[in-house]
Amino acid sequence: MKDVMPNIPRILTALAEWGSCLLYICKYQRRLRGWRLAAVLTLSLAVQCLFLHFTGHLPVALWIPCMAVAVGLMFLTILLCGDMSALSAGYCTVRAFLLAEFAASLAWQLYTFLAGGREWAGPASALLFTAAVYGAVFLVMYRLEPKPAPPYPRLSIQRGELWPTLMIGLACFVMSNLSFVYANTPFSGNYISEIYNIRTLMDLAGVVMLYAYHIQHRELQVRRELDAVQNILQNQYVQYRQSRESIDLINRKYHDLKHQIAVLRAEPDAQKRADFLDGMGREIRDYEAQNKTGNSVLDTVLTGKSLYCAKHGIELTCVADGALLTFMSVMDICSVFGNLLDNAIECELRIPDKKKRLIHLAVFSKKDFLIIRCENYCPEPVNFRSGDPVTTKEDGNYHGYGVKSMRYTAQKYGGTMTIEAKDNWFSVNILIPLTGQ
Amino acid sequence: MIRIAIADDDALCAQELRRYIDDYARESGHRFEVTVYSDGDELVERYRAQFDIILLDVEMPFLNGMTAAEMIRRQDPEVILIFITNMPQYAIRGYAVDALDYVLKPVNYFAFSQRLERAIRRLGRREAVYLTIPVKGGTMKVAADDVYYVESLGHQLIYHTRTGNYAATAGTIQQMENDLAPLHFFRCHKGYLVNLNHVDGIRDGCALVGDAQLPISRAKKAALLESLTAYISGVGR
Repeated sequence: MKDVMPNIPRILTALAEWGSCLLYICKYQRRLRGWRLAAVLTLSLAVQCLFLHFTGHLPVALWIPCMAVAVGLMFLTILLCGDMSALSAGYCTVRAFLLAEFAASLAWQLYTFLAGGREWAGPASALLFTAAVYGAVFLVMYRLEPKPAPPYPRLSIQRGELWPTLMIGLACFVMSNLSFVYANTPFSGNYISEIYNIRTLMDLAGVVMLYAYHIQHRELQVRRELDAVQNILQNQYVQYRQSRESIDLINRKYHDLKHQIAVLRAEPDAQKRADFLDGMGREIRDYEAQNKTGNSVLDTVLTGKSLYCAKHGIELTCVADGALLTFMSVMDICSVFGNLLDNAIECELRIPDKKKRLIHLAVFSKKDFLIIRCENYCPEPVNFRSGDPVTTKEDGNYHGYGVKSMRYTAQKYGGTMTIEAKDNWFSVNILIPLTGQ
Repeated sequence: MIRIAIADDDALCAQELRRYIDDYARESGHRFEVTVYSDGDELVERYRAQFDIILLDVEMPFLNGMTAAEMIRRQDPEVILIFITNMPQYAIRGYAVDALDYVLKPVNYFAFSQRLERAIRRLGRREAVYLTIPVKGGTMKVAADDVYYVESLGHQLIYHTRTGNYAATAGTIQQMENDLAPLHFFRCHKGYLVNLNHVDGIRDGCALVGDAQLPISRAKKAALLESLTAYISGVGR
């Protein structure tokens, strides 16, 4: 590389790296806000520039470790500012790094082509020109990048998904920079313009590949989520069918028993036995009368869950006007009430003192709105992320679908769902306008 | 002083509830005045809306709790009714008399105190707030609860209230939105600030308030529904 065309000033590379980090931080939910965010970003810009500037004249052998440190700095910036796991931050870093390489390479190539030998060429114009190109590249990328879907604007990358990204990133980086390190390989360029072309095109290829990978990953995630929501719906429905069957069975048994009592009563003797039978008859009536809300699906779900609650010492109380639910499909009623009660039960089971295990369900109408409210006593603090509680289950990636499924159903009927935790009570409120249902 | 009535034909149970209320008074610092009735008819006979909270046994020999509750409701839409029962299948219909809570017999102190606490919190929310509206030649004092909605017409604010419409001589809708932020008012549209308490329904992208249909701007739709949910479920305890 004994040529007149100088390589990219390191400070411009630093600027590109910082700028592309900023892009990914802007795109996803942030951990820091306001002046803290500004402070971390300023600091990271300063460190990135200083580091690259002062390591610019080291021998080639040290160039690769220096590059690794620069990437490490980018990773730290993204991890600090963005609200994401280390794996997701790593994923963003790879994408940001390749994008930065591409932007820097493209800008420099354009600059050297346009400004070569002109009198306006100089450090200031180089900085202005590259900043404009970076701005354009990042803006296009920002627009192309799909919007994170609410209410989960978090990037969730698994280990298995990080590997291919790393591989693509590494391969592109090696190929694009090979000529700078070793001139004597089958893939190295000999002329400086050729070397620059290789670098820019390789980086572009890398950016495009990672972009394609990202789009596919996202679609997969959406599909997986939809499957999970459907699964939950299906699950609650299956449970409903099972308890329907067992309740029918019990009802038949009780019906038989009633006949037996009638036969026994026909016997003229023994006043005491009649008293005893009276008692039995009353008990059966009590059982039959249980959970008559006016909606047979809700009755079944409630009976199933209250049996479970009784077994685990949870006091489940319910005030419900089931007749209001006629516009909802069987599936939706199962899913909403099944999930509401399952979530509440799960929380109550963690309370050691059985006297404090309380759940209250209310279904009523106010004006022209249907309100479904499930409250449970919950002494432990609940963490929220964008309006939804963060799951307490171990593997956060595969839970929280119960809540999603309920929200989905509420929205299907033009309604909404809110969740709050206040004064030791956790409550889920669903509102659905009844007009036009 | 919070006035509580207990109506229960089982003297032992009534006594126990009374003791729980005393315990709760000591724990919370609230003061209570408790009156005990041994049947629903005694309570209903000379009822003049003199209580804040009524604990009602569902099953009583002369006048059962549900019927008593209906009679009380006709006279007093405000009082908080809590059923005490060992037959949840009757209390499940509590929504009919706006009794959205009940306590199961045998009564456990913790469950009871939680219910009482929530009922008391709901009492506290009832204090009326008044708005002073500058009108031509003076000011009007209107209870915030009586305001249906505020409309911004040109440079003027129109207050649509239970007692009529008033054109204010000063103020902007933005300013009213900020002033009324602690109350249940919501800006559903550039030109409308609506009292959530008077939203009767939502149809075709409009909020139904009395005879009026207020447009809801597309961007506010989800937020309006959420505020309504929070408001209605907060009130209807």
